[in-house]
Amino acid sequence: MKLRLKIAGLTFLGVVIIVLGRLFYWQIIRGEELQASARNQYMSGSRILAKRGSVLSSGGEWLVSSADSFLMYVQLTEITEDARVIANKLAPLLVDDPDDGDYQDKKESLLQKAMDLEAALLREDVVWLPLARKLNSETKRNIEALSIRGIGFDLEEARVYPEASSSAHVLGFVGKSDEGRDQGYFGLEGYYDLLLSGTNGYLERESSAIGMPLLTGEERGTSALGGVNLITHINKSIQLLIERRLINGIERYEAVSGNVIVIDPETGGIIAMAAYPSYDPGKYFEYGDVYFKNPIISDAFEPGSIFKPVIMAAGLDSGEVEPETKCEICDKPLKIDKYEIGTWNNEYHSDSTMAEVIQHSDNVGMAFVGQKLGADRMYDYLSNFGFGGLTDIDLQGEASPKIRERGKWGDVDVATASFGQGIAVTPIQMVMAIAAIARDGVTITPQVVDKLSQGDWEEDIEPKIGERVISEKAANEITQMMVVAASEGEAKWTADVKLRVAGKTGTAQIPVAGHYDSEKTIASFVGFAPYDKPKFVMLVTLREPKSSPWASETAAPLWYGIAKEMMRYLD
Amino acid sequence: MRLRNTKVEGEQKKSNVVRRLTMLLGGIAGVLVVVTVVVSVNYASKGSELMMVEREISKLTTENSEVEEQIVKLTSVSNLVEGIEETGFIDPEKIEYLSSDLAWGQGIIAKLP
Repeated sequence: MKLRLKIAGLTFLGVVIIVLGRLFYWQIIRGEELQASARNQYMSGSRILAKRGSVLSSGGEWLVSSADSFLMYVQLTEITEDARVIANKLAPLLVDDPDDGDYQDKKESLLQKAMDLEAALLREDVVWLPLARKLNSETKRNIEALSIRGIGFDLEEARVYPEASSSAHVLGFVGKSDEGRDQGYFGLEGYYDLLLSGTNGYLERESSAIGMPLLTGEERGTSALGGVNLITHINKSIQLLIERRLINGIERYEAVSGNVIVIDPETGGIIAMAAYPSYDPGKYFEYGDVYFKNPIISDAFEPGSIFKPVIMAAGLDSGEVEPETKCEICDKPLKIDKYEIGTWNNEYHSDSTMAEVIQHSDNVGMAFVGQKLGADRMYDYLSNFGFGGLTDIDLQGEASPKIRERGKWGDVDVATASFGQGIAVTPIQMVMAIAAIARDGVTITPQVVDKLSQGDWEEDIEPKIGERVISEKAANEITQMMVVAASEGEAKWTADVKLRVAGKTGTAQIPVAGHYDSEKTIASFVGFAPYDKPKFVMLVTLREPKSSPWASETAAPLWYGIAKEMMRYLD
Repeated sequence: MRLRNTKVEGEQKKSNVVRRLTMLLGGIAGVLVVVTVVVSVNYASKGSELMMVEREISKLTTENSEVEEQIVKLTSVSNLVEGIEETGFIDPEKIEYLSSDLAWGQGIIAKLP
């Protein structure tokens, strides 16, 4: 009896030890792993997408907005139908613009799509595979109606561009980061990416096997915080106008490329900005990197004669010259070292006044002003006008060419810079320098975004007024010279006196491998109107126009054409 | 004999107390089981309702997003201009701007008789 009791006791003890051992193994050694596994079974988690902010024009119209889109995936272990059958069902719904192109093209693209899908569905090295991105709700519904087992959808976000490729260089685009999340690149999307993105939320809670939430269970999460909307200074009508006119101008004057920028000198707000060639931000992946860069804020060019008002303004402000000062060296070409500086048309006007120097766009007269200013003072004025540094425009991708260091300017550098050669600027720097003249001598920072808003909250971005670079008197004097240059200069044939324009043409040669190309030019016209109370400052630049190399016959008429039509949209 | 009777009565009383206690505990357990089942069913149905409401919210959010997308696309000025041109409207070829100092009635602008 005692023996049987002992055996039973030992057996019981052994069982207890084994049970405790297993419990130790499951609870302590593999406890964390199993807890996590269990949580995965009864906890369901979901990400709450934060809607990316919209970009709006000054009138509140959308320039870009966000919409739901879907990623279609396949769970390869769950499909029950033949891969080819599924591919043939899906392909017609996934081919872009099935109504476009001829029958043969459509047939080929359908076949290709079906083959790609079939190849994806036959893969054996993965269990989950994305099949298509950025599908709209209608396509999703059509695919769901096919009831294909194993096919699922994840909510994503897509950008909607109501004007297609319009404002591409201003807006930038939304692509993917290295981690696969949406990220803005270039323009406003890049510059304000953090504000536009918002913060995604999440919801994690206990749920039943069929996904039904358990009210007594644990629940945690945060709500999504949507991105901020950007209300810009862009006037949509003017934006579309300059884009249409620019493309027409490039075709008419057979130019390689061109750009137009219009700003409000009072606020520094960018009213419109267009560069061509451009790209479609909704299909950015179909374009090369070269198209994404905004040439207005990142490409340097030698400005030529449109630079003359800046140097003349410096000369007038310094007191070295007056409007009636006579040029003592304007009767013949100017020789500096081994270089000879002549006028653009080989006509020389002895004793020209400074006003006439600007009117005739006289290179020798400008070299005279440059010599009076001297290298260091010229450098200081140019720096104060903003050349050689970033303008701090709120667009991603701004770059600035360097100007020669102070103290390292030779006589010939001073002379050539005086008429816009041997110095590189960006279009945005150039237009902001002229804006300073239009603003009676005070600089201002260019701004694309006027206000930030989200729901009922709105924050105004105040204009950033800069320093005074020239006196009001000097600004008025150079303005009067530009008025005469516009109405009596080379572009007078196209001028419209009723617009009361202060402007200047510029035909710059293009430096190629240490010398200037004899045939290719960059034609520009910069100006503002009305000159006594400017509503806009505009720069038009055409690269390598072939119908005529001269700005007075290309950029100037394009400028006036835009200005005349634009006045309809300005108060 | 009396002592024996007293002992039997005591055992009967004890047995009755145990029986009543067992019945009471059983009753309480039964009520608790019923309450648990009722509450569980109630929560399950609420969970189901919550799931339905969430599905409805999701559906409405999707519809809202689709409508907003349509509105955004319909505000396209480019499409509007295209439509206008198709209906025969054209841009004015010559625009005359009158400066503010050209007041009405100074003879520059024709007056009605």
